[in-house]
Amino acid sequence: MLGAIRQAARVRTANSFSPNVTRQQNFLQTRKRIYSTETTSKSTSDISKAATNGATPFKGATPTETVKEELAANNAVKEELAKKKGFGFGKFILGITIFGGIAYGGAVYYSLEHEDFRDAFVEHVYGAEKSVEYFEDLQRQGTFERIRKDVKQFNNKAFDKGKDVFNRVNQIFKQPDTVKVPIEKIVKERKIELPEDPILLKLTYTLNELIDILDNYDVKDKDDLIKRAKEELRELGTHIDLLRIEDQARIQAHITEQNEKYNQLYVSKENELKRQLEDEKKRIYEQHYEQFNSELARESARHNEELKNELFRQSVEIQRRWIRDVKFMVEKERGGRLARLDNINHHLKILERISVDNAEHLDDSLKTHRLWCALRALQNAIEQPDRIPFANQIAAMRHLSSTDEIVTTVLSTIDDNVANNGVDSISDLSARFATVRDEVRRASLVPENGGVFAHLLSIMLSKVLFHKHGLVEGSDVESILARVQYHLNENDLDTATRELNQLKGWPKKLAEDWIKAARNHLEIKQAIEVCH
Amino acid sequence: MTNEEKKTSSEDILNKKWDLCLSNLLVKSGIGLSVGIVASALIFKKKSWPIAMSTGFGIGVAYADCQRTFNPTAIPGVKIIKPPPS
Repeated sequence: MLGAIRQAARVRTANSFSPNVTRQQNFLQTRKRIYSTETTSKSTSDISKAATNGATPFKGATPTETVKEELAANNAVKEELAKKKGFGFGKFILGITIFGGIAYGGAVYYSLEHEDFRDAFVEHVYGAEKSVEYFEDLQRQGTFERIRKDVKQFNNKAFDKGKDVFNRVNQIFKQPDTVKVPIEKIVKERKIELPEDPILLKLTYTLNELIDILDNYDVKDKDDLIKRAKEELRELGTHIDLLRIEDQARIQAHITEQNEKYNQLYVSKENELKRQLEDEKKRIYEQHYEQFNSELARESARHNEELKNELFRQSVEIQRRWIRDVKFMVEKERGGRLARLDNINHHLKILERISVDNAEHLDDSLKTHRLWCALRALQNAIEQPDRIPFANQIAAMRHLSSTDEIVTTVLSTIDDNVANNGVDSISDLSARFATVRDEVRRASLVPENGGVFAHLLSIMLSKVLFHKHGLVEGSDVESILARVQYHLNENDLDTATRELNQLKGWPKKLAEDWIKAARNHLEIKQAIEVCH
Repeated sequence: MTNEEKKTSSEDILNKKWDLCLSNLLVKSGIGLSVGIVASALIFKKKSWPIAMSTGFGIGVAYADCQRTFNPTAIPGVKIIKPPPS
């Protein structure tokens, strides 16, 4: 905003300047100076001032005319003011608006800088928040920075331009003064050429000055004087040169003399030092040699000692190792022999065991053989068609099989009574079954608590019943009897006994003895089988 | 073989009972007949009915005995009730 105002001001000043140009065309330098000052003071220019500037210089070609014009204008303004107060009021409004705008802008700007003020501002003034935020956005986007930079750049440019103009003006003014003085001086100094000697140079300057003075003051024979002075100066120069040469020669001689002297001194000193060095060298060498010798001797002695120690230690160690090895070997040998003895012992034991086992086996086999014999005898006794008591065989078996648990347990189950009485053979049993079968058949129709007449009836009716044969099904007495008969014919006593055991009531009672006998027979048979 | 005399084998039980019954019948019917003959001759003036009646008594006693041998639990007036099968 400020930049814009400045620009406007500059434009206006440029406009206002154009008549001045026409008026003061002759004075270029002064114009430039004014321009520079104008440009530098641009920022301070006021709007009203600009307005007046714009108003006044336009018409004024001559002073009288301008005055007249001004008067006329003043009159017109007065008339206008008299006519209308609206223009003044408009001005007032404009002023207030501008002032208010500036104040508002300032407040916004200040609120950007200070938090407290901003809070208050936003709270109390209408629309402040939006504007502040807008400006903050701008600030954030860097618009301000850019504008500020632009302004600064522009300022610098303007300043540089001003400076440039100023310098150029200065140069134009100063150039003649600065150039004149050196030229004159150069011209004057040509009178006497400058000698090399500084003293003479000084004298020459003095003489030159004197010549200048003489030039200024009109003295006669001045040329002569000058010439004489010149000659004298030259003589003086030659004299000085001579003196210098002489001096130089003397100095040279002195230097050479000194040089020689010092050379001699140097040589003698060098020789001495060399000798000293040699001596020193020798001495040091001898010393070192001695030291080295002694060191060597000591070292060698120590080394020998160490070697001896080492040797001794090694010998001791080797001895020890040897002893150990020998011991170990002896132990091994002895151990080997002992082991062999142990081995033999072990073998012997095994042999013993084998022999004992063999004996036991023989015993066992004998025993089993005997047992087998007894068993055979028992079997024989049982399988005899007649009833033979086998208590003797049982006793023999018991005696023989005292070690065998199974046989003893099996034998213990056999009843003494049975053993004494013997068992019926299968043929016996089947023969006995014929009678049993008849009896059972007779009693087969008796009810459970039947009386005399029931028995009589059963006996009578059983005569009339059909006889069954073979493996027939059914749970009635007749079919059971048929099955038993069939099994007996097949020599299967076990199943026959089981079948007969299914009877009930009087038939069961009648068949009980037979069942018992068959059971005994079966038991003995089973025992023999187990013993096998 | 005293053992065998004492113990009869199971299939002979019924036969033994029958033997006993028959001998009982013979003895008791004989006693009844003889008692009836003596009584008819001495008391009832040689009438025949006392003979038949006393013989009948003898037979009846023999029957009762026989019945008891076959089924000793069947006492008249007593009924054995079996426990219900559980």
